[in-house]
Amino acid sequence: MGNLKMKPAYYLYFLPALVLFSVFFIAPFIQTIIFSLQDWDSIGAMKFIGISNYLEMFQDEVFLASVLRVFQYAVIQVAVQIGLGLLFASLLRGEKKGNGFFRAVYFLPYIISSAAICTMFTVMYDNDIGLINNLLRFVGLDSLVHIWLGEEKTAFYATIAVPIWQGLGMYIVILLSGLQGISEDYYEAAKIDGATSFQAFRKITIPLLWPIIQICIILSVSGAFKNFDYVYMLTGGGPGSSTHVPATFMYDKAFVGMRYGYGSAVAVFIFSLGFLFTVVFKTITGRKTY
Amino acid sequence: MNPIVKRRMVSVVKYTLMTVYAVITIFPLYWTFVNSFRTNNQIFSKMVLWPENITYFENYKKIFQQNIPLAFKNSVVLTVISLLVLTCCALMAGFVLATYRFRFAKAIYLLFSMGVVIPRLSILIATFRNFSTFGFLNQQYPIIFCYVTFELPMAIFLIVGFMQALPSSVLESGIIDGCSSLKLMTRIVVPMSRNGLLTMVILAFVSIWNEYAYSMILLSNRKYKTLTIALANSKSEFTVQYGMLSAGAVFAVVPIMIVYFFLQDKIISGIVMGAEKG
Repeated sequence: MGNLKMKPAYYLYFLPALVLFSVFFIAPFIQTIIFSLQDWDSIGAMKFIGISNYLEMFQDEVFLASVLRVFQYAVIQVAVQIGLGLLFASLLRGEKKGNGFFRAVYFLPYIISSAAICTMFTVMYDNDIGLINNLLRFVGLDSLVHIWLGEEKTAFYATIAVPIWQGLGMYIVILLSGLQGISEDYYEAAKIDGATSFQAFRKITIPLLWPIIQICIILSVSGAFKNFDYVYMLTGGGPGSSTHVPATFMYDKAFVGMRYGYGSAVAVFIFSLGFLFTVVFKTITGRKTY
Repeated sequence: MNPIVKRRMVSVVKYTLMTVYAVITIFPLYWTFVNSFRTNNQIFSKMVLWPENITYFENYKKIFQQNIPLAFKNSVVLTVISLLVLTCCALMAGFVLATYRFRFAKAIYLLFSMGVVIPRLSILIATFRNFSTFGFLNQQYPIIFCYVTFELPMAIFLIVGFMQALPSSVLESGIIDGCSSLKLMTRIVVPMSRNGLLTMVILAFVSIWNEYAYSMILLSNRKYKTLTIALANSKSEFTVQYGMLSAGAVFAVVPIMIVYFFLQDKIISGIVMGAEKG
């Protein structure tokens, strides 16, 4: 990476980082794979059962439902965060005044802890005094009032709305930064040639912004796959199991059901999902530079 | 229509949209802030835009009598120590990666990349079991190892990125002057990468301060819980005492909002850079 000549002694500089990383990341990772092949309740001995956990997993209805759900969530999250993100980033880019202020405001939710956000939204979603229902009643839309986190039909969407809302600001900021990297000259040339702003958007903005959009898609989707905090804190997977995602399912099986082997299999699945998606996505879309 | 007038109208529409969304973004926070100054009866009776009595501090007093201040202290201690350890490890590793040429550079880079690809949640079970085996579960500090480990990959990538941007002429003059690698690092490279260092610390701070899953599982002892966990637990402890819940949320959020207020430029550009390098 650098240019200077290396001496063997310098490897010592790596020691703290490498030791920490190997012991607390690489080792547990390998252990997880090993655990996934065992039957283990963490108290007794481990029993090697090969891929039984995986077989059981893929036949478990709750698990399969959670996988379907997390895909749904990922699609919605990407559509909203990148779609609205692009929209607001474009708005911000066009109107320079107060840019810094809006940027700071939109980004604010992102730095607040998931616990604080979930506390706030639990109150907001409350049936009687919550902000959402009160607003609906205020404008006379009483029929739309729901027990947002308590009804099976609405619980999941109410739950994923929270991280989507929280993360949107980050994508606005990233996309804005990308947009600002596109030179004005392109747009002026397009205007001279008589292009509408829509055409300019399609032929100039999207292609030049594409690498950044790719990154945002990967971040957004893998964020959805990993989501644990919000589902756990808002609904714990309920009502029933209607809001379970793989991550909460894993927690439930391992720490509540005391089945560490089975939980580890779910963990391996979660990792593979994110990894596979990244690989497939990058292969399909390729890295185009202009 | 007059093009100038049309341009003005479009502008107004755009600003309206942006303002509406800004309000939507801020409103949950503002609403929680307002509720933290109201009694439960007031909250349950109607919705207002400003507390009936802004000097109603009962909710906050009650919060302070719970273990939230202790949790705050725990968060501060753990985060500060983690950041110190992280800075040392990442600076040293980043320095070597950015400055010297050696065969294993790519391999080491790849190794740390795994840290970005593998979701930290996946290794929770194994980590829990390891902590249990080593007797770490009932202690306050071992979780620092986890915090640091999770931030290491991004921290190293950021630092390497910043250090590589330094002009090599400075390094060369250092060598000519007979600097050892240690002097090179501490006297030249590190001071010049102050910006990158600050960015890395800020990003890691936000991430560690807000960490939930591991803190919840590995800090089982009540005395050691961090602010994030205390807040999450307050939901079940206080259930429908929404005034107290809101006060708790405000209290948890205020420190980071102060940090954000002063450093918001750096935080935002740091996250953007982190995303691009990832």
